[in-house]
Amino acid sequence: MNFANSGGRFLRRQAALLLCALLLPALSLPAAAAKRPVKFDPRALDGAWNRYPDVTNGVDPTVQPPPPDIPPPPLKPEYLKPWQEYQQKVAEANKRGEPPVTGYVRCLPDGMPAVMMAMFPLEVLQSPGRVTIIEEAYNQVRRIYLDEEQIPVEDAEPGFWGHSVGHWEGDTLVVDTVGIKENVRFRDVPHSDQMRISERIRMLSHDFFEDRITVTDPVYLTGPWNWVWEYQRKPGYKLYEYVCEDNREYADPDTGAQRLKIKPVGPEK
Amino acid sequence: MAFAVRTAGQRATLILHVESPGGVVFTSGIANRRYAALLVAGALLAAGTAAAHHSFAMYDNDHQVKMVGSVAKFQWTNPHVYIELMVPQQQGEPQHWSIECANPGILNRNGWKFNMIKPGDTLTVIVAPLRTGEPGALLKEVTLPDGRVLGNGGPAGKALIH
Repeated sequence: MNFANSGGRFLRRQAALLLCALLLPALSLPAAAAKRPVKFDPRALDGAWNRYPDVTNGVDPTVQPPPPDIPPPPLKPEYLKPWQEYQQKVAEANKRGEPPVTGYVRCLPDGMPAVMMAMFPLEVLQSPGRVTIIEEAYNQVRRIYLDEEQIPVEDAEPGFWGHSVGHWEGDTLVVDTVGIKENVRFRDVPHSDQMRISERIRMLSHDFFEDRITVTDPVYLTGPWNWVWEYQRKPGYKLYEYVCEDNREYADPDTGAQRLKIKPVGPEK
Repeated sequence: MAFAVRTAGQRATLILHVESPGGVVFTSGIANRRYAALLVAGALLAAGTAAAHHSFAMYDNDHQVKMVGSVAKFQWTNPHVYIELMVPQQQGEPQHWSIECANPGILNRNGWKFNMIKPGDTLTVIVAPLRTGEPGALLKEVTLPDGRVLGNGGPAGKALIH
């Protein structure tokens, strides 16, 4: 097309007008930005999140494909066999209707890394030098100290959530956790005080983030145990309090199976 | 607007995220159609696995029962909410049933409210009873006096009878 003729000039003017029309909304962006951020901030993890897919409210796989399921733990052969046997025992007990009790029956929280399973919604808070993750279930709190050196594993006091330090590598929050009590287990997998949990937390979009988890343990594992959990933003959600106040489930003293205590109904004490 | 391309094994995903000045947010994931069915199956499998953190195996899901009774107490606590229901019998005193519900968080997210059931209310419930034969059960569905029908959240499962 020859743009030197009048028709070309007309087209060019039309194109310029069209460009202006397209740019106008962009010029009005700062005003809108005051109301709500219009640019995707890859570090804006603050807010409430649901595990994705949301196990308590159904799955919409058209929104975001879920990550692959968690692989079995790469336990050393001497630990893998008893673990597999225990898994088999649990499956059979469940089939018989006599599920073995878990920590939940004793009102114990998940601890790391299971807390990031986000049984219920999570809340992420960012403050200077710290990222705090609150899990609604059992009022669990994780504190990730930013830009601090990790303590040696032998100095890490064993706890449910351990000692976590983190730093930003570009748009990825890299977290290292040590000091998990040996009885705090995810998927019944045994671990030593040498266990480390590393996480690479990264926003996939404004509404999704992923946590790429790697568990290493030179005592129990042959190599790293990796999996990914994803989370979906839950705009405006306010976390509920959670106190394990009246747990009526208990372990049968004879079989160890989970039972329900039937309470007589009477006047309130 | 932001794009994120992720690859995991054979799966490639494009996530498109759009925000307009008006505040409309659009987030979409486009997966290879060939894997769509696989993804749905995977999602269901993952949901099943994750929900297994709390076992409901002590309840007999295959022999659900429907009962009508009067509420003696509605207890809004963690880790579970309980409805104490007095169920009239053909002869004698009504039988007391302890009906386990999910927890306040799950129930709130499924349309329940702490004060929506009161002592004296007549409820129709569909439950999975304890396998031991004791008068305890896991709620599947409740019909309130005003006719509203509510479930007990995803992990507790759905009513299989009507």
